[in-house]
Amino acid sequence: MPRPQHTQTFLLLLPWIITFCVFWLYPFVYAAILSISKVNTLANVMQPVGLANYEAVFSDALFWQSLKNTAIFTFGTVPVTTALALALAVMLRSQKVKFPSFFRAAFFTPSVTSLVVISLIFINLYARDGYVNQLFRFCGLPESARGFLLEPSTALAAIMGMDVWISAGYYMVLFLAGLEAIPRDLYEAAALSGANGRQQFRRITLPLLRPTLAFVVVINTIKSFQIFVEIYVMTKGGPLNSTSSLVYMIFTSALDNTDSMGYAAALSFVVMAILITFSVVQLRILRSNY
Amino acid sequence: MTAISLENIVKRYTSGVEAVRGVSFCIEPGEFLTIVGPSGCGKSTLLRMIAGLEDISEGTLKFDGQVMNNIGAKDRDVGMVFQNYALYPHLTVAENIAFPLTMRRDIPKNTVEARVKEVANMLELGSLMHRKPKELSGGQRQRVALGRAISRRPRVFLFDEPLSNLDAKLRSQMRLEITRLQKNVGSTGIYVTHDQTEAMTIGNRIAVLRDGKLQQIGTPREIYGSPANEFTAGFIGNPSMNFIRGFIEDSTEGLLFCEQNGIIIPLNALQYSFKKSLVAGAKATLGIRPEHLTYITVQGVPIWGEIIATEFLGHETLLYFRASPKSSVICCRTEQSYLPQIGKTVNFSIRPDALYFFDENGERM
Repeated sequence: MPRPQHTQTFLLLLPWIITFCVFWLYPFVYAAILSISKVNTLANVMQPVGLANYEAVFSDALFWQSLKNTAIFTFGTVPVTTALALALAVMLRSQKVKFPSFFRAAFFTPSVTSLVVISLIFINLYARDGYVNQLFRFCGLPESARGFLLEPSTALAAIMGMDVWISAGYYMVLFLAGLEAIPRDLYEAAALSGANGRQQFRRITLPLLRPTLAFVVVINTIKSFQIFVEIYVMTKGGPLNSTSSLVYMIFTSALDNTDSMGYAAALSFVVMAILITFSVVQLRILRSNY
Repeated sequence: MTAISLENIVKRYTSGVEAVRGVSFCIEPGEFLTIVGPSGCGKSTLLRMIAGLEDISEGTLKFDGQVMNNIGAKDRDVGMVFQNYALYPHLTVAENIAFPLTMRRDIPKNTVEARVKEVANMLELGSLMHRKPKELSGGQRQRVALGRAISRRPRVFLFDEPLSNLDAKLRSQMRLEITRLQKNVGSTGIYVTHDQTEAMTIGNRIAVLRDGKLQQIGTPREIYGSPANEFTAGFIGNPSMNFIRGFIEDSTEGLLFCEQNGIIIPLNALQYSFKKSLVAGAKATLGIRPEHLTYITVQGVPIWGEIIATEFLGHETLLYFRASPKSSVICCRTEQSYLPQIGKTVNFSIRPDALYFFDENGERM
């Protein structure tokens, strides 16, 4: 017989337990079952096939192409976004910038704007007669003949550029919070020790920002690995699969065909495995040392 | 060793608030000056201006005759110990102490190592060199902070209430250590504190600050024995000086100091030279230090009072009494361990050479 306080604890935890089971545990287990089954959604038939779906994933050329695209996207944007966000945060915190709250809000705005809206705007900006192409023309840079999103060589880079613009402000706010947590005394002590601005940044800001940096890099990597909306709205994975990402591929294989739900589930587990590996490695490397 | 001079230093914030209002004084080379005052009196601001961490709104700061107003903190060659230590949490004790040295590229690595070792020995930190600040006690952290400040052998040594986060026992131990260290290093030192015991024991001279204004500067003996005004008199000394508000009255026995319905003291009985001439009717405040009152009648000016409280502190006893129900409570400090009963009326006497009179503005009379 459970003691009354145990019942009470359980009751208080119940809302969370229900949500967890319904929205997390059940889909997870169901997806795991799907990933080892052949599913026909029209006939509502499910047959166990062992690891056949996983084998199919690894022998699919589109998977490797999407993995490559996602990796390029992630490793191309994460360092740039992180560096830019950190630079913006440091700049806004230095007393040299006037109206810091205005700039903080301005830089943050893209991350609270609908991704679909931003993507639609950028479709126009990146079009053949869009502002970006005109700017390139004005600066004497090579123009895009059909628009940036229609060229296999530029489409992914164009989306990456947009993503950096969207996310930098968000991570900037995280960095600002991290910077705020570093006591001002430390900078004063360093200044009195003869450290110039650069030395203070390298010897104090960076090491003390490590926990924030780790958090930003991990979150940003996970988010980048899950890139979907921009691709769905802007390119549908094209041209010539040059922007197909893993999550976009999961989406299309699950919903575009009637018999590849199992394949999509297997792909999801592959993506999850990659993300867990990355996060563990990153957290190990960037672990705080004080 | 560096001489420091402050000429009419003012700190005015953009809001118009003046934290420091025209402070001037000189510090001799190698001297250790304490700046003391209550919270918010501008003492830390003044120290930060000397360090270069705050801009000087008006006035001139000189090190050895050289104007420092526009020289940045990093070029002033100043070592500072902060109230909350300000140790770098990600560096070990050794790295913290070496930090100011490694910032200067002209110091070779083996000199840095030797200097760190020397400082560590001086402060008995040898066994803690590889620990991080979070693994140290408050006292150890403060010693590391001291070590970091002296490792570069700065020309000026600044302390911003460095002992206020430590417990009482550790505080008195660190007080001695700081005094010893400053003597060894020989740099000119400025020590800011709100604790008058620290002020009295650490510095060669004390500067008393109130509301951003310098009240008095002098040796601990001068400040204690001859306070310039009521504020300084009340601030220095523990328990603090008793103040009795009253007026001067003429009588057949000469001038008297009278408290309304309370103590009356004939002024001709005092061995006291007044700075200003006293006139009948003038308002005045009488100051008596608790140690200048005795309750076993000896020679002196007598006062009768009813005991209202006693505090036995072991090496001394504090007796609180009142001359009449409406007069102020006076504290008497005595080494006698015999405690008179509360409610009993006792005869106290005041040392005739140890009274202070202050005028309406708090200035010494």
